[in-house]
Amino acid sequence: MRWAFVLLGMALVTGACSTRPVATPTAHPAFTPGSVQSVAVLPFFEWQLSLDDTHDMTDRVLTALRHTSPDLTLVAPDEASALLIAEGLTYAWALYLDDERAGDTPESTLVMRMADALGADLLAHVRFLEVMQHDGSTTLGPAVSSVIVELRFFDGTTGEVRWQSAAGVEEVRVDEQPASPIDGLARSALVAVLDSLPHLGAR
Amino acid sequence: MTWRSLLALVAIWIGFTLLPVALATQERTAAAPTRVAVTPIVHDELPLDSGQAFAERMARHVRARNPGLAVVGPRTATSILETQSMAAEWGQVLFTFLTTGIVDGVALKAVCNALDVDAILHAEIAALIERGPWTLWRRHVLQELRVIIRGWLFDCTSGLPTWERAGTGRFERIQDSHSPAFSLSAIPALLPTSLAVSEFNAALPRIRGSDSP
Repeated sequence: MRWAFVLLGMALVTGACSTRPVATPTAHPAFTPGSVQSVAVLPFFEWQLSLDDTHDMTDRVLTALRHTSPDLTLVAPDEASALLIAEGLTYAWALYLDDERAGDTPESTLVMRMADALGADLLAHVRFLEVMQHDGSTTLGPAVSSVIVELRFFDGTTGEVRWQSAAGVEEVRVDEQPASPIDGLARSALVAVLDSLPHLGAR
Repeated sequence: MTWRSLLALVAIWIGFTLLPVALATQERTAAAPTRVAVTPIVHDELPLDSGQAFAERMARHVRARNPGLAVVGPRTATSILETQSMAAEWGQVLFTFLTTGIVDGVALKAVCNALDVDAILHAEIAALIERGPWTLWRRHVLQELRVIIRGWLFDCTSGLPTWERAGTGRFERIQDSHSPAFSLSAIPALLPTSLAVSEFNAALPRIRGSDSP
C-alpha cells in the first residue's frame, strides 16, 4: 500500500518541465516524537552516487534535523561510523541491510546494540528503494531515470522502524539520449522527504 | 658590500623562502602512500580473469603515473591474501563499504598489514545500462551497453577513501536479428580491452605527484 502512495507521489520530469516530488510519511502508532532526545545519522552507500553526493545528502539530513528540532543531540555520520567500527558492528550492519534487501526480516537486536553504541534514541538512515536508468532507443522508447529515496528512523529501544518517508522522481528524455545521472533526482527526492520531517523532542 | 656578501644574503633569503615550501612538500610526501595494492574487480557477471586483467591494467597505469611508488599487482595481492588467510577479511571490508558506506578502518588495517601496503586501489562495476536495440537494416540490429566503473583509493592509516572516480565504457554490437539474444554476461569480459579502461585509467590518481588526492 505504501508503494502505491510513493508511486502516486512520484514526480514526473519530462524534458525541461519538472514537478515537485511529494513525500509520503508514515509513523508507527507507538512512535512518540516528543520523547526523542538524540538522533544518529548513519552513512549510506549507493552505486550510482559518488561519496561526495552521499555525504552531501546526509549533511542535508543533519541540517534539516537541526532546523526542525533544534534541541536534539545529533551524531554525525562520520562520528557514527567511528563508534560502530570501535564496537565491531559494521559488518553485522552490512549483513542486516543485505538481508533486508533480499526480503528477509533481520534481527532487530542489532539495531538496539547500534543505538547503545551511538548513544542515540533514533537512528536515521537513507536508502534507495528504486534506482532505474534506461537509455533511449527506437524500440524501448525515451531515456528514463528514476529514483525513490526513503528516510527512516529506527527506534533504539525496539530496534524497529518507527517513522519513514519516501519520495520518488522520474526524468524522461524524449530523444534517444543516455539516461540522466541520478544525483540531481536523488537530491530533489530527499528535499521532499525532509520537508515531511516531524518535530522531534519536547516543544 | 662585496659581491660575496651580497651572494650570501641572496642565498640566505632563498633558503628562508624555500624552507616552508620544503617542509610542506616533506609533510605531503610523508602522508602520501609509498606502497599501493591494486585488487581485482569482483562482480557476479564478470569472469574472474576479466576482473584480474582489468586490475592489471589499472596497476600498470598507476606504475606509469607514479614512478616512485611500489605497486602490488592484483595477482600478487590475491595470492598474498589467500596465503595469509585474509581474503575473507578483505571481502568483508568491501562488502561492508559497498553496503553501508562505512570503511571499517580496523579490518582494513589488518588487510593492509598482510599486503604490506599503505593504500589499496579498488574498482567495481557500478552499473550496466542497456540501450537499444535499433534496427539498422534488414535483419540487423545494433545494441549498446554502458558500463559505469567506480574506483576508490583506501588509505590504510586514516581508513578513509581518499580518491574516487567513475568512468563510463560503451560497448556496441551489430548482429543478425535471428541470432541468439544479446548476452549481458558476455559484455564485461570485453572490459580489459575496452575504451572504459583507458578512460578510467587516465583518471587514476597521481599519488606521488602534484595532483595527489
